[in-house]
Amino acid sequence: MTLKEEFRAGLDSGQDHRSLLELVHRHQTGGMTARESYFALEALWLEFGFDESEEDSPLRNELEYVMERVWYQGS
Amino acid sequence: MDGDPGEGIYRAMIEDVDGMPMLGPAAIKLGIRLNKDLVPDASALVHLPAFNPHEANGLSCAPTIQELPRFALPVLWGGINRKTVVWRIEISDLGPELIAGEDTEPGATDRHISIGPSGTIA
Repeated sequence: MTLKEEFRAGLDSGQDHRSLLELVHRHQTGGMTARESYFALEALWLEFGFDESEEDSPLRNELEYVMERVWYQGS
Repeated sequence: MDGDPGEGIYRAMIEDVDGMPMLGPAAIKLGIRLNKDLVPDASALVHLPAFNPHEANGLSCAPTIQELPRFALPVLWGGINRKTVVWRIEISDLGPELIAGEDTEPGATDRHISIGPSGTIA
């Protein structure tokens, strides 16, 4: 599975940011760069329509926290 | 975009109806995400952060607009968010209970600033 697919499955199953960050780290260990992993998550974020929404949700909050971590820290 | 104001402390947040940042524990609102941005101790207290990279040091900000995460950055500034506005936070506006510190990950592409408590707070 791609990072995007696996991450989506993790979000849908209610995994928290710790598990989701581990997931990102596993893909990076497998060769994905930090920026590649960020853009995979960003694609998912756009599919959710979050670019045009002000609404919160636990899913959105976990996704955005991980995206922020990956942007600044790589994983 | 013209008129880039240069270095400071910036955060992209949704603007509320009162013209101020929308409050809330979210990446694009004004608020601390518990157990993400800050982690209380066993007594539910938070303390002055060490501002070490990879630690929970406080509210996530950046020293320039262009170092804000692309998903949070408004379209107007080259990002992809259609709801946020860039806010500049002045050190003088933080008050005595807050402190800003750089906690950039070594080797990172983008620098990071956190705003955290200046002492122990419940």
